[in-house]
Amino acid sequence: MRAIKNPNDILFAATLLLMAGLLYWQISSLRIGTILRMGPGYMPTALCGLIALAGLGILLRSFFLGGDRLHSWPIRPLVFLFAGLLSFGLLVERAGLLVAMPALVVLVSLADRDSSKGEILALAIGLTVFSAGVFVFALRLPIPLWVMG
Amino acid sequence: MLDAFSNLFAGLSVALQIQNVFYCFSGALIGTLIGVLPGLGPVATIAILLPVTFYLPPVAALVMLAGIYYGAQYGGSTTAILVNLPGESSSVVTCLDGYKMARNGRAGPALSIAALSSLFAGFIAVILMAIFATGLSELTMFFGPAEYFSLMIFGLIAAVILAQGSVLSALAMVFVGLLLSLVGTDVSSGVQRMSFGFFDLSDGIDFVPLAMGLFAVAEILKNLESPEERVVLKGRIGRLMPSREEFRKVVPSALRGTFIGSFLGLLPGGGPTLGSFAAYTVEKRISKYPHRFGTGVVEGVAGPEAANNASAQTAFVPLLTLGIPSNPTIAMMAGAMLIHGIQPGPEVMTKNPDVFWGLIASMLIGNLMLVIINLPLIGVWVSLLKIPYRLFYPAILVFCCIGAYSVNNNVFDIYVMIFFGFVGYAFMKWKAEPAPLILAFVLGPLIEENFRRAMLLSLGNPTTFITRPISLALLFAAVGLIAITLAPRLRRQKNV
Repeated sequence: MRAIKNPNDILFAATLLLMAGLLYWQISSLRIGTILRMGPGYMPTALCGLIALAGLGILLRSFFLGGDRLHSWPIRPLVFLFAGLLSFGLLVERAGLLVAMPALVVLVSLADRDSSKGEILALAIGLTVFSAGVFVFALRLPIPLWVMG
Repeated sequence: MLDAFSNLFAGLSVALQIQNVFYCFSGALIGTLIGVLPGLGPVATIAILLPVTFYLPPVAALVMLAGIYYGAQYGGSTTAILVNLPGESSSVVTCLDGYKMARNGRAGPALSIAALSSLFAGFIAVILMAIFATGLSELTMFFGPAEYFSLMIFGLIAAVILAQGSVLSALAMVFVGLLLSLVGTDVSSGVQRMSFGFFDLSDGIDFVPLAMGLFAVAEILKNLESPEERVVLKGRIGRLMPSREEFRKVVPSALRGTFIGSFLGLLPGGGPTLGSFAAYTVEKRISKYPHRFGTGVVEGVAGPEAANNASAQTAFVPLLTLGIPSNPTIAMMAGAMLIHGIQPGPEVMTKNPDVFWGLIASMLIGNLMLVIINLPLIGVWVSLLKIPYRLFYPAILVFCCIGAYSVNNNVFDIYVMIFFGFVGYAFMKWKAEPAPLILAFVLGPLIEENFRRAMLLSLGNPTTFITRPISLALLFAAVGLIAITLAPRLRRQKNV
């Protein structure tokens, strides 16, 4: 018999507690005030407390209520999605849409094992042309197309 | 009553302007598309398209975004019937009997019953909306800060209870959403709260990248992890027309579904999913042959389909009259209104009557278009279902990145989206839904503001919430909701 019945809940609870702690550290210096004259710290402090309480409740629950075994985390989609989105963010203003968009499409497509080279190439070209045409030319969103180095 | 009708006609003249008809059609088309495709819902879609609507007049923008919402109810049923996968969460129950009907060789009638019940519900819901809205806007005279506070608490409790998974996890999501909504500069004191020294956070977290992260990026991660089997029904869809016998059964079911859905759509925390589940339960309970439900009975399609469409429409009423979004999609609509300089609430009707009545009347046109988009063109949607997911999610991410960037032309919003994409994915893995979080995020500032005002008015006396009758009734209803959900569990535990 395992003592911990739901290891996923432990991670969930830890995340909530960490979040409450981290955000409380940010607002601990703010004035709390009274219920009549609420300071800027009143609501956030109360909510940090409530999140911590919920976290403790979930921690407690993990010892009693059964659940799934510890989930595995899919490395490939997580890494490629993160890399693709991040590179779009880093490149769009520095290099322009015509560089950032293919980088995004190629990287995120690699998250799926079944994507073939031809498909990825076609998607990258198609979506880049489409977004440049629709968003930049037709809708005139102010996105730089090409930034000279 | 008569006022409501004459206003509705005035609205119709706005909705029939050629530009608005065009955007209504676009919305209905996009709505059907995302409804058919599982894995992309109205919340993410509205978030993606919001920046694009900056450049439209307010009526056109809202008409289009609303079309996406109720259009998704139509499209969702197509996937439910033909693939046994809900295209939207509100068409989960349509899978039960709709897919069975298709398996029994009655796919065509199932599709047309779903579409025609939705059309029927859509028309009646518009009339009910006009009446409810006129009535509710008179009620707002009695609404002070204490009432608004209690109403929002009721809405959040309802969202917690409707969320799948445990109540405790959903509560945690509400608290997180409320806390995130307070990030940035405090309105009354001007100090920075929880901005971690980022200048870009001083205006708070923008809800567009937050919603995209939680609803689009996280959803894609989830789908990539567990690829779903899509087996599109083989063979022909066949004749669309239901038989006379089926037709006779459909009409009363659709009527009941419409009223159940319209009413549940009005409740904070309610919406199409709740509406369709309730309608299915009612149909099964009053049926002469409840044991046959789940084998392909028409009432099991007509009732829920009428209900989800009616709820999707009446859910706009609390937003337009009280300024309170009752579910995440409507919260996105609230954001769209604010972007266009319209403060959701009782003043929409008096200050922007063309927006108010134009939006409601556009739903008549939208519903008619949707039947045409869905029934004769069903083949197009079926072939779309055959596109593999790996060709489709990169496009969603492209739209997300461009959308997030365009909100403020700031790369920081892309990073916010990425961050909440991963956080949302983790929460999903831990069986905590993002819906209560986003609703709490939108309501957070309103809750703080109204709480503060209520305390000032009552000189710091917290009993003000239970001494004012409307406020007390709302809080009482919230406690009642909790009691109802906890009761069966207690009983079950005692029996064991």
